[in-house]
Order: sequence, then structure tokens, then C-alpha cells
Amino acid sequence: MQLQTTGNRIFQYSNAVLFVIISIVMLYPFWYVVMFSLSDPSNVSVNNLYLLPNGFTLASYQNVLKSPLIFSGFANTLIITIVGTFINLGLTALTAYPISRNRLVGRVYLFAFIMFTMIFQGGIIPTYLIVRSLGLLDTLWALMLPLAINVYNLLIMMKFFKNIPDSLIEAAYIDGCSDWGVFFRIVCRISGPVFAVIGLFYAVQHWNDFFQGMLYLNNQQLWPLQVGLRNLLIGGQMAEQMGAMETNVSSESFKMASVVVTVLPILLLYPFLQKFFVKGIMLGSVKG
Amino acid sequence: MQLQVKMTKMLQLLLRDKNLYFMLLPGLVYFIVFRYFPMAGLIIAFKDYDIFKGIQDSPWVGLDIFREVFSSSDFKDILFNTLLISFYKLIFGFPVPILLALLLNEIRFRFFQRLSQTILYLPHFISWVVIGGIMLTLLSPNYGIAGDIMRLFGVEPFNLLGSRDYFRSILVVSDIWRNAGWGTIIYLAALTQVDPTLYEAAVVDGANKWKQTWHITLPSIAPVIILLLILDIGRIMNVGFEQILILQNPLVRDISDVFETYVYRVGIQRGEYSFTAALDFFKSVVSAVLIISAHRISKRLGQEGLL
Repeated sequence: MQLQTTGNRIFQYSNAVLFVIISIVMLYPFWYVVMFSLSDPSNVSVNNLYLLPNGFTLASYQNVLKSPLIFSGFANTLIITIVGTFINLGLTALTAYPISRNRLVGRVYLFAFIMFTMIFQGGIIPTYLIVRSLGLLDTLWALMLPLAINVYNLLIMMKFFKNIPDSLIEAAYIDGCSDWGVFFRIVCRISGPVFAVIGLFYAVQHWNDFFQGMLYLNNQQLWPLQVGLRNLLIGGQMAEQMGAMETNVSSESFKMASVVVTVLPILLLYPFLQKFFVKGIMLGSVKG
Repeated sequence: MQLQVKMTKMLQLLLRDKNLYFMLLPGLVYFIVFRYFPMAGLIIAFKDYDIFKGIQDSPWVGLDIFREVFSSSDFKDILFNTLLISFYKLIFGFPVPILLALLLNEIRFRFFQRLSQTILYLPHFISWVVIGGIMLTLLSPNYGIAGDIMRLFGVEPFNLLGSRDYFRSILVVSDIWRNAGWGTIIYLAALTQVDPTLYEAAVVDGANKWKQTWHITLPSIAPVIILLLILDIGRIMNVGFEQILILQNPLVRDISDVFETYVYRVGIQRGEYSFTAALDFFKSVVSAVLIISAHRISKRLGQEGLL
């Protein structure tokens, strides 16, 4: 049907070229850090675009692996991501399911009670004071409990649970299932996709979070990876600000190696993550 | 008598679903402790909070702290910075995903389209710490590309992140770099909903690509554009503080400080809890008003509510 005019063809080609350029703009910074981190620090000089490593060496990575802050950071982040995501999923599902059932008396009020927290928030200081008064400062719980339920994720889950036919649940009751039985054997079993999507939302949030760690943790040994990395980067930046123009370049490639180590798990999982995230956005925007 | 019947009926229903209420319990405790207690905790903005006395025993001071806040130059700075940076991000950032989605939609080769999309989303999954780290190196006057480019044009290399003229632009550009791709998802979904027969009819009538885009595509996705615009305006107080917290440095602090970065530095680090809680209070109230207004407007425009 469509006529391939010359103008149309020119548009098609230039559009494709445009997206090739955009893709390079998106990817090059990552390539750059990887190449920088693999370069020999003594070779680092001006006029270097880092298309390839300048004098290949793994020295920076050896230093990163020896660095206690990165090592403990990795362990802490793993704990927070795994345990935290389980807490997130458990609490979110247990809250979403009852409110999604029409038969529950008072569900409108419970829903409003939760939705209100989206409109009005206590803010940083009062939340900090609550966390402190609960004795959670300088514990990893402080990074898992205060943000245990994300209301957006709760809404996505509720929409999903609402679409479970009542007949299925009634049938389970007739077969002698209790509410808990229905929840674990029916609801959880058929909700695999939504658990995967929401679980990944939470997991990436835990992996990337640094503000909670900055707020609640003074003890360096408890710092997650992102907080340790931030400290490393800020420290160096300060030195540069203070007029130390001859920054130690080897510390610079050490930093870039730390950046690579921090971002690598996300990059490796990215093709998989990306698919689920897009699915999640779609789940969220489906009217229900 | 009738009331009694109603009450027993209600009680029966509550008892029948007692397990469902038990399930809700942990979640409700969570919302009370970590969401409602902090709201109540905002009363320290009306007290001279003393860490050793606790919230209860600290003396009331009425609106003194708010008077102090509203007359301080710091408050004026952070309010101005928040609105200005948000406004810049909205003006320059909002149209980008629409443009990208329109252009992506024109790509005929499916594999290339998919690949471009996947690459566009990538930075959205990367934390600001990592992006900040990459930017510090890329923009460094000593060994970064920015320094090389400046030398190429015969400019004495300077630190862009320490420059009061460029810092806000860098915030806007890096925000677009990270989030514009992700923003295309909803527009791309909206574009697939456009009725293809409209295009066929337009081609028969001799409409070219421009005319098709202008008269069919854009009007078709206009409701989505308006909805997202209202949503963004409703969030104007949330300026993306994590990015600023990472990229900020003392040289540009006064032109880039926003509510959260200030509250963190002065409240958490220096312990001026009452003063910064008043800032939290102000921001929460303004945000709530904005969100409710956005909700009302979108309802009036015939959209389903945002809440």
C-alpha cells in the first residue's frame, strides 16, 4: 500500500542513522569506564577516547577485590537485596490479597487508609526519628523495613489478584481450603508472573539504593555497595575540588573498576530484567 | 432491633473473614509504623525538639520555627532551586520521549527497532551513584573527554561539575539521558492503539508522513500526553534529589540545593531536626495539594483518576 518515494526512503535511512547515534550515546559511557578501568594507569594521558584499553592491565580489579569496603559492600548488598525482596513480596502480597477481595467488609476504608500515604508523606526527618527510636539505626533492617511496601507495586498486585475469578476461589473454599490455603495454594501459585515482575522491581531498587544507607548507617562495615562506591567517588572529587590537579590516576582507574563491579550484575541481567520491567509497566497501566 | 440484626450480620462477616484480616495485619502495622507515625512526627516542626527529651517532652513553640524557616535565605534558595530545576527538566525533558517514540515507531525493521528500544532503556536501571561516577570521569578537565574537547576548541579546560553556569544544564541533560528512553514505553504502547485504517485513508487522500503525524498520530495520543503532563506537574516538588546528591559539590551547592539534599545535610548530619522537619512539612503539604489538584484536573478532562 505504502509508496516508497525517495523522500520516504531518505527519512527511513536518516531515522535509522539517528538511532544508531543515540545507541552509541547510550552505550559509550559504559564502554568508556570499562576501557578506563582496564587501562594501565601510567599510560593514561590526554586525547584518549578509550575505544580500546590503553595498555591492558587487570591491576585495578585486583585492588578492587582486595578492597574491604567493596567486598563487604557486595555481601551487604546481596543480603539486603535477597532478604529485603522476600520481605517486600511477602508483605505486599499479604496486604494486596485481602483488599482485592470484594467480600471483605471495610475494604474501601482499608484501601483509602493505604492510598492516603501516597498523597501525604511524613518526610525524611520524622521517618529517621522513628527508625532511630525503634533501634534500627546501624542495622541492615533499616534498609529493608521502612520501604517494605511500595504502594505502586501494591496496586499492580491488587489489580492482578482482582482478575482471579471468584469462582476459582469459591471452588477452593468448597473443597475445604481455608483462607490461608487459598492464598498459598491457589493465589500464589497462579500469580508467578506478577511475583516475578514485582520482585524484580524491588530487587533492582534494593541493589541501586544508596540514600537509605546514607541515612541510617554510620558503620562502614554495614554499608551496601552503592554507599561504599559513593564514598570512594566523593572522596576523590573533593580532592580534585581542593585544587589537587594532579589527581592520582591509578586511584581513578580503581574507582572505575569499582563502578564496573557495582554495575556488572545489573548489566548481565539486563536483557532479562528489561523484559519483565516493561511487562510490569503494562500491568500497571491496564485499567482494572 | 434492626440495628442489632445488622450488627450481628456484620460480626458474622468479620468472623468469617478473620483469616483475611490476619493476613492484613503485618501490612497495616507497616503502614502505621513507617508511614503514619512519621506524619504524626511532623509535630516536631511546632516544637523545639530536643534529642534527649524526646518528642513528647520537648516544649511547644507554636509557629516560631516556620517563621524562622520562611524568613531564612536558605529556604528561598531551595524552593527556587527545586522549582527551577523541575521546570527545566519538564520543559526540556518532557517532549523527548514523545519524539523518540514517534521516530522509533517509524522504523520498519523490527529487530533494529527492538534493539534500539532495549538500549534506550538501559540507563534507567543504573543507579545515580554509578552514573555519577561515570560522569565524574567523563567530565573531568584532567583526563576526561570533556577536557579533551575543550582543548580541541582551544578553551582552557575547567570542571563542568564545579561550574555555576553549567551545573543545572548538566542535571537536565543527564536526567534526560537516563530517563527519556524509559519514558517512551507508554507512548509506544499508545501508538500501537492508533487505528491503522486512519493511515490508509490518509494515504488515499494523499497525506504525507508529516501530515499523517500531525493530523492522526498526535491527536490520537494527545490524551496520554496530557495525562502524563499533569502527572509530572503534580510531582514538580520531587526534583530527583538522588541525582543532585551525587553530583553536587560545595562549588555549586547554593544553586543546586533542593529540599532533600538540604534536609539530609542540615537535619541528619548537623542535627537541626525541628528546622528541617518544618521543611519536610512544607514540602509534604505542597506536594499533597499538587497531587490532589492533578487528580482533579485529570478527572475533569475525562481521564480516569490518577489515584
